Amino acid sequence: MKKLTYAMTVLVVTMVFSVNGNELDTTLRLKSQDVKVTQQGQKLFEQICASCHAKDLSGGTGFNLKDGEWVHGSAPSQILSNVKTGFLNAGMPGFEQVFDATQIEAIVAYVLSKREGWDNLTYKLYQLNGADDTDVTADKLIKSGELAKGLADFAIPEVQHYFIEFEGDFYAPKDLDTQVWLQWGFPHELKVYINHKQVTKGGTAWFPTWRLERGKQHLKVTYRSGDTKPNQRDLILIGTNLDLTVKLFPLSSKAKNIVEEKKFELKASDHILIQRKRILDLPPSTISVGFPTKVNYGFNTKTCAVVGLWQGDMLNVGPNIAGRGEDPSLPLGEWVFHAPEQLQHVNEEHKCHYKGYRLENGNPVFSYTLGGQQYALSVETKSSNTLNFIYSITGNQPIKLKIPETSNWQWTHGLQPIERQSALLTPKQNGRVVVTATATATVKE
Amino acid sequence: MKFKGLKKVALCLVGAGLVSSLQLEAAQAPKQEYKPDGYDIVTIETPKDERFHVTGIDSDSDGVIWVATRFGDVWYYKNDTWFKFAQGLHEPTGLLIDTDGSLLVSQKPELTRIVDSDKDGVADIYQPVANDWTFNDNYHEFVFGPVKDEQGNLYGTLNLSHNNPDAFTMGAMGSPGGYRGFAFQVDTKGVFTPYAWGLRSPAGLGTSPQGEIFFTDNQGDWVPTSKMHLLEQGKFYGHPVSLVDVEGYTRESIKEMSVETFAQMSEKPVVWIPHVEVANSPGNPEWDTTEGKFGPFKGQIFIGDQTQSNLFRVLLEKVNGQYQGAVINFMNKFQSGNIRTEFDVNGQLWVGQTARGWGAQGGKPFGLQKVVWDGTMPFELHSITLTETGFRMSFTDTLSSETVVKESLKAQSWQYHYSSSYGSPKVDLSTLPITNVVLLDDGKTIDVTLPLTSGKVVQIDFTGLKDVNGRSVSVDKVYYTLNQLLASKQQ
Repeated sequence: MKKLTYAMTVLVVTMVFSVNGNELDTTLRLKSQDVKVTQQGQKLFEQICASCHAKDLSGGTGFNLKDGEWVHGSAPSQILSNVKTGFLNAGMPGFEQVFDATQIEAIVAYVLSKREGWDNLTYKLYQLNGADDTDVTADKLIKSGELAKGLADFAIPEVQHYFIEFEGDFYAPKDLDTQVWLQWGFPHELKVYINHKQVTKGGTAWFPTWRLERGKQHLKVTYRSGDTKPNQRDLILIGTNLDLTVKLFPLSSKAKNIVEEKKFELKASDHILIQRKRILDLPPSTISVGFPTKVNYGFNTKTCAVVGLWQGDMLNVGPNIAGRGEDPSLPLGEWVFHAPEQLQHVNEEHKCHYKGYRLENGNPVFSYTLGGQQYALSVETKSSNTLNFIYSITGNQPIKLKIPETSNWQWTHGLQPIERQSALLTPKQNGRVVVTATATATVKE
Repeated sequence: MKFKGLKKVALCLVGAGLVSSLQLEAAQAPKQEYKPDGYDIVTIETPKDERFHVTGIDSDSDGVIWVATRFGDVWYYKNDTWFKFAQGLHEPTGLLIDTDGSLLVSQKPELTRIVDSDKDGVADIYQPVANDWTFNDNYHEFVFGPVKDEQGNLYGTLNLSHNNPDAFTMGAMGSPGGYRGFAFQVDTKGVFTPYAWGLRSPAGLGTSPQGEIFFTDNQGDWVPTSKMHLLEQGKFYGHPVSLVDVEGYTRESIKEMSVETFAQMSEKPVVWIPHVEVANSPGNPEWDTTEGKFGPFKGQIFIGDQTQSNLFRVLLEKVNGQYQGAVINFMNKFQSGNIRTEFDVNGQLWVGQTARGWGAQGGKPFGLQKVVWDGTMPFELHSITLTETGFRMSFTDTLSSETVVKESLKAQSWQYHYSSSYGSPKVDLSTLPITNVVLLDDGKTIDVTLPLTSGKVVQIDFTGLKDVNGRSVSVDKVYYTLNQLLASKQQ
């Protein structure tokens, strides 16, 4: 009797909760499509949540919040409840007292809007009679189920010849065009269907790609084992940007580790950091310098120009040090400018001759000659909004610099603003020309 | 990568119609552990939480070990402690201590001199020594070296690109120009010279005690199996795409040339290194100049393999004035991929390791180990030289005369097929009859009589031989690259 009463109580409570939960789920889902709400949520998220869950929601001390795996429940109302109460033994405080209800809903709506990957993912496995068997019929179905982690698990089949299909709702980024990429793609017989229509395969034989739509779509992926070798069938499916330079999210189980390895953040926390890596949007041979004041620049040794400037933390070098390091490192902050915009000498006839750098209190001073003149360049910063580019000129000749196009930044010499194609800048007594770049519009927190 | 290669080889086999004479079994590496008596592997603890892929090593006269890591740092190891010396380098793959104590490190965009000018134990000057090649941010564009000759000139090599859409390719690897696939020289005045070409993935350079430069190259397109060459100015080493940077050649004209023409133009390697059985991705040749501290292999060359996680020896001689010789496995079961080898003043062999991106037998992703000798005389093949009737094989210890019979040995030979295919199987694999074996008066050397044909690799198994104490060898196979016969025997 007692047991039954208890069970009934639980049932009633659950029903009540789920009715309320359902309403809340719907509200939150609607809010996740409301740009005004998600923008507010983003501000709050980046202020507080990003320190553990990362600005791009990829996780750190806290879990990844954009993939399909919800350790503590995936319903929006559950997520909301979890944000309110926290997980003290895992180090996450409850935010019920920190934010009001509207704010927490905005944060949850933002997180939902950043969702990447499969939801309600299921699979069906069919056993085929041989490598040439292409007849997939209902009687050949041997296994099916749900994949709660939202990753297509190509290691499921334990038979020699098979056809497997994965299907579910899929969330691709809304603000960026992406595609599905099959790593080591030849000669796998993979087919992709979006909203029940087959997607034409793009890319090349070894780098096949299938274009995704933005936002939510219905996605089905099928694979027939055919003539492939058994140890090559655990496929790596990754969502990437259109030129394959950035690997964004995994679609298959094997891809998960590979994508996660592509995260290794370098930050100039207490001293200047110098890195030479391949960096997205910067030319090869660029040396990047990161300051604890959260501003970073790149100096190209082939052109002796400053080819990039970004605010915020320095670099995610993960893509460049994972596996064979085929992918570029990614700046962690926001670009102020990058190549082809650059801070450079106006001196087309002469090629610069890079001579190296010397560290002065950990700050690099780059030396080079250009047009017969000897120069040194170093950068000093007091905050992420102001930098001094200090040119030391042997011989006191004036220099002419081309200023990069930057929105909301002012470039001055002495107290005079400099035009894009600058006037001649004369060195002071100490043989230096100091060009100051200042952000004119600070982002309001 | 391996899958791609096997497929290409399979297609070529069918096309070439050589099916009847080809070795169709996959090569096997020895599965059991092999090591000579008296030698052991010691694992060095690397700095905590550091990605310590050791791809450059040198040691100084105090026995301090200096390493460059793939992550971009330089560290030194002194009194069992690690100190960080430099950082911010772009995937370095070589380190050399210069005579003035500065370091020369090869990184992808640059050969760099690193100096600690204020002597505070941390580098403060990073100077380019050479950067006259094109670096396109392609992941495969490594720079190897530097090594120095007796005149003080520096040498390095430049890996070809892979999957570079702007590259000229006739197989798997490509050149977008800018001296990819070249060896270069930087003289004492800092002048950069493109020195030789036709290289593919020349991952290891070394200078012999006589001041000659040798390099290894990896099996792949246009490279039938891994090999070692003598580096000479103006020579072509087999991979055609670097010809785009040589005067008189264009992409179109190179495409018109035949494989036979490339073969005639190419230098012969001093040794072929059998694929998988000995190595897949050899590192730098390192000469034993320890004057006996490392045992009885004085003057021999030790090379690590990144894939097989082993060490092998190269035994060279000169025949008709040209180098040729043999390779033989030495030790295996290292913890990771062995890419760098370095003897220190104490007679220890340091082995720099990485397995990232290109798999290795050893399970660890990176590390540093060393091989030490405890003074026990091992029983192994010491050296092998060509005679008019076969080979003379010397052993490190006295042989048991009862075991010196024909039945203790076997021999076979094959050749490799040079083409754009990714590697070559053993072609014309045939058994060689051993007609006589004679033990010489020193008790350690035997003369083996078998038919000799130039242009072959000869494998001799000597499993049945034992020493007077009943020991068998730990490695019972040697592979001799028979480029030429002795002058008196040539037709």
